[in-house]
Amino acid sequence: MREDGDMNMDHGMNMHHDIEQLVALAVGLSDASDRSAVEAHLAGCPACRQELRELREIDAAIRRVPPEAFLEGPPADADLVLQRVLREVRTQPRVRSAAEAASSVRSCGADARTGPELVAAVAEAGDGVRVTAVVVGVPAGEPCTLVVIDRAGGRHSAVRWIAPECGAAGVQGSASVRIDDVVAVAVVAADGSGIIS
Amino acid sequence: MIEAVELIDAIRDLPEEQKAVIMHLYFRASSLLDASSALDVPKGTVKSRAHYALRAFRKSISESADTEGRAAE
Repeated sequence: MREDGDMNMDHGMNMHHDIEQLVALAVGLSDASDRSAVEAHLAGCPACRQELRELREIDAAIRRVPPEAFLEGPPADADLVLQRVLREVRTQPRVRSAAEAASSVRSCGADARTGPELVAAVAEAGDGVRVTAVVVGVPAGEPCTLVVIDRAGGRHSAVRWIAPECGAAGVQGSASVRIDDVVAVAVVAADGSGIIS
Repeated sequence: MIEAVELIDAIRDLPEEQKAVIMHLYFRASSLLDASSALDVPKGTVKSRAHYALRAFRKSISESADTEGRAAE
């Protein structure tokens, strides 16, 4: 694997930049000398500019996803994650019951008698919405999907996770639906059946 | 817009060494040097693993779009 930023001949007679250097530029890993060499090449290469645009779109999408969404189970600092989500929930304009969320988190791992509970906040983000939620009382190991439901009844998946052992999950995701069209947020099981909304 | 759920699936499917690089670069906001040091690999390896991870994301997103396109037909 080359790391020197040299041009290559992968595309017939056209000289194109090393894809790794484009990735490094898209992700922000290039040092100054690499960056200037790549940018000089980009100025005269539409194909590499298009490649860079696509890589940056993926880079931006990854940056919108919260780290806890990638955890298979409860994170080691689950309490801190939940506290952070709750702080975000409390600052959202559409929150109706942040106090319930705080109460639910305090009951983490101690009380499943009340059944599943969901507190969610929806905020506009670009052309879609960002959803922040605290979900408690779902049996551990249950695959869950947070869905945004629009006026027409359409379901838009925002984030998936596996219910943690402690019974409480703080999750965040996004969906391509206009905020004015959002009528509900729900948690559904792997078979599509509703757990709570 | 690329939906988060597509990326989550793609990240979960990554080999562990690429997943570790993505976690360092994106979620711990590590610099190239910090990621290299934490993972005990050369900086070039961090870049190449990031390259393979982003390529996997693009493939996964592309396949997802193709599947949705076929479902809509």
